[in-house]
Amino acid sequence: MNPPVTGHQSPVTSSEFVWATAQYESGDWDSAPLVAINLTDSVARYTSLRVSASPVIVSLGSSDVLRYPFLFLTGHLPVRFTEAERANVRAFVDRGGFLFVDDHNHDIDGVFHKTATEELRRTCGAIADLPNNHELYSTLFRFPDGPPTTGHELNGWGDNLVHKNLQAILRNGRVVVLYSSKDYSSEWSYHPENKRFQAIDNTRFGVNVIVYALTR
Amino acid sequence: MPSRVDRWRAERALRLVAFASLMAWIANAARPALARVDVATDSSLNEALPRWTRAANVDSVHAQLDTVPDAAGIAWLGALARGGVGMSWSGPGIPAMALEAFPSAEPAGGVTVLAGAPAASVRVVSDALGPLDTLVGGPTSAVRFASLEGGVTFTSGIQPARVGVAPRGATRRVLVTGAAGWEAKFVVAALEEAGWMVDARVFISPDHDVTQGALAALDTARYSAVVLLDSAGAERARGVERFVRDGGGVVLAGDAGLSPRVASLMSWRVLKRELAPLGTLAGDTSWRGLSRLPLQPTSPARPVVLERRGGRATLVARRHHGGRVVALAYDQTWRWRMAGGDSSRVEHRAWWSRVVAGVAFRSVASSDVTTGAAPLASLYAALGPPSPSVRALPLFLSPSALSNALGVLLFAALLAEWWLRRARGAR
Repeated sequence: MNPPVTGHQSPVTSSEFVWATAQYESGDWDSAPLVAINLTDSVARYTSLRVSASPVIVSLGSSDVLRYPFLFLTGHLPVRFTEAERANVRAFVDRGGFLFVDDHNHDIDGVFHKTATEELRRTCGAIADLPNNHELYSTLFRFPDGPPTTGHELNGWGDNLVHKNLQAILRNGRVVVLYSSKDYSSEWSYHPENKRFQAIDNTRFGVNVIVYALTR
Repeated sequence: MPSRVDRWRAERALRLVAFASLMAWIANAARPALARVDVATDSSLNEALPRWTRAANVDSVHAQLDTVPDAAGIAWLGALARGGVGMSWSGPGIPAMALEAFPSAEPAGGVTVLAGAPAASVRVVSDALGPLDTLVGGPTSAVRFASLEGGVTFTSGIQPARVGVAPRGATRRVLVTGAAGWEAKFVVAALEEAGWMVDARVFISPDHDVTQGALAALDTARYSAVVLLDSAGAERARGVERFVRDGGGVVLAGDAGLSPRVASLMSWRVLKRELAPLGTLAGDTSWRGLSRLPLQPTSPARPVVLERRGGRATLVARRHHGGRVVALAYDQTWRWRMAGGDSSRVEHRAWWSRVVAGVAFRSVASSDVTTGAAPLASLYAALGPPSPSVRALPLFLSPSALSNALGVLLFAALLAEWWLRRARGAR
């Protein structure tokens, strides 16, 4: 796997799926650096989708975000969008992009959760629990109980809760913003070669999210 | 008091006139009888038609027209021609024109008007409530109206063409199929936003696909069009050729034309992919997404090239039995929508909706050519080709009138000559 590159260095006309990590002015946007290559590896492993081996980092304040319809945003620290970031996120969502936000703290009283959900509500509209029978949980792999639990939930990290639902913002019945308090950033941030040590690959739900973003 | 010499000269002149009149009278009487042609113009045609129908002493009739008569007038003229009356017509100023109007297949509704007439003329489209639009540019135009009252009238100069609009048929669904990816996602989204009911089947692995809607076999009872987004979609589509034969529509996008399954639908081939030059904006409609696979028409059944970019065909169409096929060179139009200008989402949606509507199944035949749809062609069909204009002779030049006039002139000349001779004392 190649290391992530910034958006402006990527091929302009590739039609492959490109994992794009959102870089925002506030907070630690790069707190889970291995998620990108790990999920890219999983998509290539389980599907025949054309996938770019080079994930990108794209600035939310740049119009380059509109070149990558799938954006991943994570961090531990407060999220406050600049005006340019807010405008770009609004345009991104209105045009049909898919923004996947994960709270790296796994803490609903934490600063990331409070500020990120507030910012998303302000920018994109109301955010609500996603039912656990939503098609997101059966697009490729089946998760009949909803979002899979993470090691950090079970170990009592963060708010010491197992969150039953993900949250989402919908447009025309489609999820355009998916918000997770489950800390998938920690769960998936490891080198793809280490999947061989797991009985069940814990990134499969991430593949579902990507397939959903590409097909709905 | 004239001298005797003057009188003698006058007598000689009168004799000469009498002799010339006699010769002309004889020549007029000896020439073969001319056919009598009755000529009518636009303004007198309504009076002439009953006369021509009843008259026994008319050898031939000629309609000299500036505009095409109405349907009843054409039918009457045609009946006279078929009934043995020597019929001819001329109308050098009548424009060749055609008009078609049909309800748009787009969910938003509306009426599409196709009109053709000489570009030099003033061309106006109207409905029952009045003028709607003036057409400019080339000789043919396609105009879409949100609604129309009554039929459509298209006027070129002073010549009108008129057609009614068939009622709109039931809107059927659209099937979109191809490999999972941004193009599939955003094409489905665009069509749904435009109001189409979309079923979709996208492939994410050899043994797994994601579907939307209750997929059924391709049939014009359920689907009005199928969009094959790429060769993966074309390769796995079943019954496309039969669907088109039955009147369905097919959109072949990107490299879909590379699949042998759709070869029978094509009269073009797909060329190598071209990428937009560095710096081209995603909203540039020359590229519609920065990538294209140009299309090369092949003989003998050449398609209609609807769009050309950089000298290459990028949008072509053809009929295949009862249905229509359109091919697009573009395979990444999602970039146009996502990264284009402020209106790119709306433009992308409208463009895809128009493409699909262009091939969508139409339950009502719209190609009936009525008299009003192509007036000049109707006249040709009823009466054959025109003949040169005929000028009616003035009444005083008719053979009998001429004979009478010459007789009077002869008698007058002889009488005058006799009077002059008597006046000078001669016998």
